[in-house]
Amino acid sequence: MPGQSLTVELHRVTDDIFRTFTWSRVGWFAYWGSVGLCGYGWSIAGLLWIQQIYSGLQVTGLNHPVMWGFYITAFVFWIGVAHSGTFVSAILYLFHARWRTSIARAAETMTIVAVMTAAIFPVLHLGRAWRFYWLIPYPNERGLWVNFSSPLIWDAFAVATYFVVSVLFWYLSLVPDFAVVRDRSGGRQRAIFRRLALGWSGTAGEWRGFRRAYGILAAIVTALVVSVHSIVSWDFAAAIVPGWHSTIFAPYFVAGAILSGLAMVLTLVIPARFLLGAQDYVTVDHLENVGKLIIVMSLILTYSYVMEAIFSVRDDRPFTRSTFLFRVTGDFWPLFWTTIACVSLVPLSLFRRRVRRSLTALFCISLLINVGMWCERLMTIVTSLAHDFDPSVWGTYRPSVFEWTIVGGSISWFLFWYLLLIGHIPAVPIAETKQNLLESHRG
Amino acid sequence: MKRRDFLKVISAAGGAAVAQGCSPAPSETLIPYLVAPDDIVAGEAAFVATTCRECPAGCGVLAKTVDARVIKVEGNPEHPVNRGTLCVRGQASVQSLYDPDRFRGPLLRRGDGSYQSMSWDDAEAALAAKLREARARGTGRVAWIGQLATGSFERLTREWLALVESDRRLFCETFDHEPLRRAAAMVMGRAEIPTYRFDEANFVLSFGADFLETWMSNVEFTRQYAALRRRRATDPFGCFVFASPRLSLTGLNADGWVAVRAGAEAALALSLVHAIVADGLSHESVRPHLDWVRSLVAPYAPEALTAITDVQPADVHALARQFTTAGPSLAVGGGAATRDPHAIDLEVAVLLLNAVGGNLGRTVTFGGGSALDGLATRDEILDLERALAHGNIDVLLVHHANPAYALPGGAFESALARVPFVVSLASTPDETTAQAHLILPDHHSLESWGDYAPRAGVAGMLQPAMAPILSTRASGDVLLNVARRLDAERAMALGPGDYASYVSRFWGALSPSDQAWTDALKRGGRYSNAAPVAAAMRDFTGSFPAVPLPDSRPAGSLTLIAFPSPFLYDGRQANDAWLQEIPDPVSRTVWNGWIEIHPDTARRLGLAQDDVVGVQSASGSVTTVVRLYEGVRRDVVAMPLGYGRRAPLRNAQARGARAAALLPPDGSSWRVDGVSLVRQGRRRLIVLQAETEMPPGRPPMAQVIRPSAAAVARERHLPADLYPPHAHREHRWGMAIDLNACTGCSACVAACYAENNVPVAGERACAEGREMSWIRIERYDAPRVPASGVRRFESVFLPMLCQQCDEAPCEPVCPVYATYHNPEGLNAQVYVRCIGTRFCSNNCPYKVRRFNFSRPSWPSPLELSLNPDVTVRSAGVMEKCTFCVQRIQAGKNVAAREQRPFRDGDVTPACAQTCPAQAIVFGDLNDPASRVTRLSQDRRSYHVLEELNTRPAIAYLKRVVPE
Repeated sequence: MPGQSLTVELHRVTDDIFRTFTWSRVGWFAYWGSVGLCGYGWSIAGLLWIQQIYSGLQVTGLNHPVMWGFYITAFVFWIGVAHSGTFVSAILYLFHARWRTSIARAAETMTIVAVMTAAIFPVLHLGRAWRFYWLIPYPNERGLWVNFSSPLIWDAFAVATYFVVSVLFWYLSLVPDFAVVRDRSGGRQRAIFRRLALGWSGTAGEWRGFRRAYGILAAIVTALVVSVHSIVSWDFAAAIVPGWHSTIFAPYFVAGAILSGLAMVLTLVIPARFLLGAQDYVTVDHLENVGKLIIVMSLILTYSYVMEAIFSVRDDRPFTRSTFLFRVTGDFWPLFWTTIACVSLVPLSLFRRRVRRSLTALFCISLLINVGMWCERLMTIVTSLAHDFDPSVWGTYRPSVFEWTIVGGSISWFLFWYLLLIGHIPAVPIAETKQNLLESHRG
Repeated sequence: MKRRDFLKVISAAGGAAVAQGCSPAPSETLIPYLVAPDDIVAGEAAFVATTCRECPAGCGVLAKTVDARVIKVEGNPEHPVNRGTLCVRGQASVQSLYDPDRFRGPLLRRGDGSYQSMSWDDAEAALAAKLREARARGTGRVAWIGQLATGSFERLTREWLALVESDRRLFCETFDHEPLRRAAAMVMGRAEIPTYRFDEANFVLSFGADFLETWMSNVEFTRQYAALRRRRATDPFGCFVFASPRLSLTGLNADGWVAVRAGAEAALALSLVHAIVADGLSHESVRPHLDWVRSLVAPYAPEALTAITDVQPADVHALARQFTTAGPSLAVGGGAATRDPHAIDLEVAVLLLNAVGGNLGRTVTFGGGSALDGLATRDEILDLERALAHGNIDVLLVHHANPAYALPGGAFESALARVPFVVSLASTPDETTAQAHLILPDHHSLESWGDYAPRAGVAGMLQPAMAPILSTRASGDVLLNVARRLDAERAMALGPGDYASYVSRFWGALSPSDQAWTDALKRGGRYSNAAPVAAAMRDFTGSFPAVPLPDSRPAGSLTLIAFPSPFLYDGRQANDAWLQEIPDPVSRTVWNGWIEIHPDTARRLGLAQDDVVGVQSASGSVTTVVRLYEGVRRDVVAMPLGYGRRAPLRNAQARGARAAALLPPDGSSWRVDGVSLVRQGRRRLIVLQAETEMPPGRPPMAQVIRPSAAAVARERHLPADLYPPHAHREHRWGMAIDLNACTGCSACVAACYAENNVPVAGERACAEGREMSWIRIERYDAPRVPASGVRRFESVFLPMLCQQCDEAPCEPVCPVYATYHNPEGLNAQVYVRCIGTRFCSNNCPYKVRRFNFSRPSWPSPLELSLNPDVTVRSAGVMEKCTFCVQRIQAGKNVAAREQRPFRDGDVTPACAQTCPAQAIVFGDLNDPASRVTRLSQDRRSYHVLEELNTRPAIAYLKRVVPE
């Protein structure tokens, strides 16, 4: 944007980003059509859930011994997706990676919606879903309490905390932007955004407080990024099931979560930047940086896989070794090898600059990583359960129509809320973009 | 049941004693075993002593009734046959009682083949009219074919038939042991079933006799065999060898397997006699007979018969040595080998073997007065069949027999169609009933008066444990009523009153309060020791048929053998859902029939596991599913009897194929040569055990010990703990399971279903891996071919139930404390607290937790069989073995009420209670003197997956296998 004065440029930022609020006729139909379609999708899944509550979990493919399957996989998957938002916002913020700004809003919104999606699954998979609140310690006349030694309770706390802090973090960064929207709109919209902006007027004092709060929250969220998925991993690692019972699980799950989150950011942002016309703000450079991060995470994961294999094979008890061999060669071998291909091999292509800068390639790779991460979680969960200690009760698992539909419905649910949110808030942080612009002008 | 009916029943039961003085009401009909009728309290269990009639063994049962409904049966400890235990079929008799498909009242067939229900009065009148016509046409025009009856019912049918001028009465059993009776007549001059004493023997050699599952008296024999195993556990060669082309459940328990060619069992037995005599091993008691015996068996030198029997002479000689040196030993013959053209030869050879082994009078005695002696012979049945076909019979009464299904071929069925009036006294629909013109449904045996004496000295009593739930009528009463309608005067000879009073008169009761009579009612019968008679072998050279050698068969030809199903027996219990849902101990399949093929043979024929095949023999063809099994010879395929029912029975109809359709129609053989198999498609058999061989490298779940290692002290894993162990101040419940005694009979599984309201999942849910059983019998095979001697399968049966671990992996992972460690060491499961995360099941290394994937249901009237002391679980909750916590509570209550400390044996869980081998011992591990504590410290004891540090409360005792 050379040749333009800084003021004009700053003004243009506001204009551009604000443009995402004003729809063309076609855009309006496209947007609400998509929202409606997604709403329809998850409604179907919702109906199936009601049917599942009515007839019991017999409608799933779960069985004895494979008591966890698609639903828990979906939980871990969506929690994983939820990790990039905070990663991009908090950790990259603390490291002053300025390119993160353009995708921060998209990523943070994704986090919140992904947690909303993930949180459904632990409830949905319960035998008696209507009793889900028993997982929460609340005072009751029967003096019943939850079992704090159960990883599932840790889960409940971790996910709830993560959700609350992510929402706060997201909202805090939105406050100045809400104020911009408030100032530019009228009527009912103005009334709504006035409340949302919490009376932000942009004084130096407000900015100082904002910075401080943002920094503190970023630090907290950083800790959460590590803790949440560690705790999710302990759902498995704290069990004695061979293939789960491993100390490597926490770092391995965190890396996996960040990888799947980054992939999901690419999956969402690459089409969105076209749809919203935000090419100037979300540049190829930014996306290339995400690609570089993906390489790092992928390598960490590959390292974990290798370590896991070595631990398993060298374990002096036969169970873990046998589970590993079953993963590699047993009924579910396609899952294992898809995982290796999509998570360890495909991202290696990002070492080539040309691939990193090709949006099509990035998009395809991001999809493949999503698939690979899904397979990895499913493989981890199912193979360990299918072949554990007692060979006489070894089993297998095939997801049912209900599970496919409900998990598919969760994608609709995710997109539904994502579209609704991203369509009604500034999709790129206005204030932060401007600040970056100022800083770059200052040199 | 409606509240009103319930109150009626209660008042009928409770008020019986009050009514005794002033009304002719049969006040003696509900005298419970433990408490007098006026002590019947709602919710308190009363036990009624009666007799199991599911097979001719005649075990004594105590029917547990709560609120005037039978909820479970248990063995009667006083009964000499079963001594308090029951088999899987006996346990399932409650399912027959509440069978939803039972007839609800009398039915008359209309011209168009449909049935019309009618009143009992009309039905009896209709029967009387037909009988009158038949009697008018001459003598012998009425026939009776029924289940084996003794005592009062035997006399009633005899007297009643005399009334209608007939003596055609056949008691039929599918497994009738006729060749044995004929052989005994030939060898000993006594046409009777001998009495066997497996517990007195030191070595058992069975030619296909499945004495642990269906043969004669399996509960008694299992108890005796377990005693033998315990006593001879350290024999270097084992104490039991099974000679048969197929390994049945009994065979899998054997220490050795002689895979003799099908049909050559007799030749093998004779060659054994030859070897014993030739090797100079025969017992001194047969010295006087040696000359003729030697000449009799001269053609059967083991060396000459190898081509026929497919058994190496060295093995025969080794067996001969083992059989005679262990003495007394015991040889028995049964199964397909005794339904064979060579059956009598086999039974003769077996008796001869027992004679030269010196077993006669020790492990094989005569004069036992077995009820089986009263069974019709095959000739008598064929004779009746001919009479039916020729229209010589006007009225045929069928009483709990199903010849149309059980007899091979379709001849009897077509003969049945020629009978003008067939009366069925069955309680459930069957293939014979389908041809009946009049159906007069009998009570179930648990609702009936009667008696059954399985052998001399054991007179078992049948008394109603509850009032009939349906509009049925005791066949005895029907006979008496019809007789009075027919000829009031002559019917006087049958005596006054109903069948109940007929029974009591038969038992010599002078009045309902007669001391001897009430005593018999309380004890379930009268028991005495019948002394065996002295019986001597005689020279039968003249009558012995010549060369009983099987025909030579072309190489590659397949022989089919049919075998009794350990659970469905001959098919009579096929509608009992438990028996369909508990996996067959050999094939591990549920809810379907199968054909067993050796993997090599299947490969040769291009067949694979789960292939649907058309099986064709000279007599017929059926379609069934392939189950690969290394326990059949390569030239043999095997099918269970009891499947392929056609009657409208919800659990049995069209399940599997009827093996009898392939057998020679004259019923002479359960073996057919030259069958062919054609692949027709695929259908997955539901198999409830994934692996029967331990994958290499893993510590075996079911462990064995060699006699030479007997002195080795057990190794113990030292517990490694972060936290202090649980304190169990008062009790720590534990269990010891002796794998050396366990035969895999699965009675414990059925008992658990009954005791704990375990729902039947059904075929589909089983296919999806959602069966609900709290205890399962795992089987692990380690096939071995030792350098010398006979082959071994080395199977170990491992009953797997909740191990009630001290460091239970299920407990810490439950987020809501639905499972927790109770102060007595149980991993308690609180159903109402469970929300169904299923983490506990994932974390259970034994995988013994069961999840309710759907709402359990009991088709009416099966809900009446529910145990009121145990919660019925809802959908979405986890459940598992509780060590029968309700029984523990009851046992502690009794001790508290009697103001005494808890004693060992006060509590017996349902599985331990029914175990015919008494392999399961339960008790308090805190009590150093208890049996379970002593067994847990035995050198054979180990914990399954001990290295996981779960510290289970169940100790298994390793199975002793020969070197």
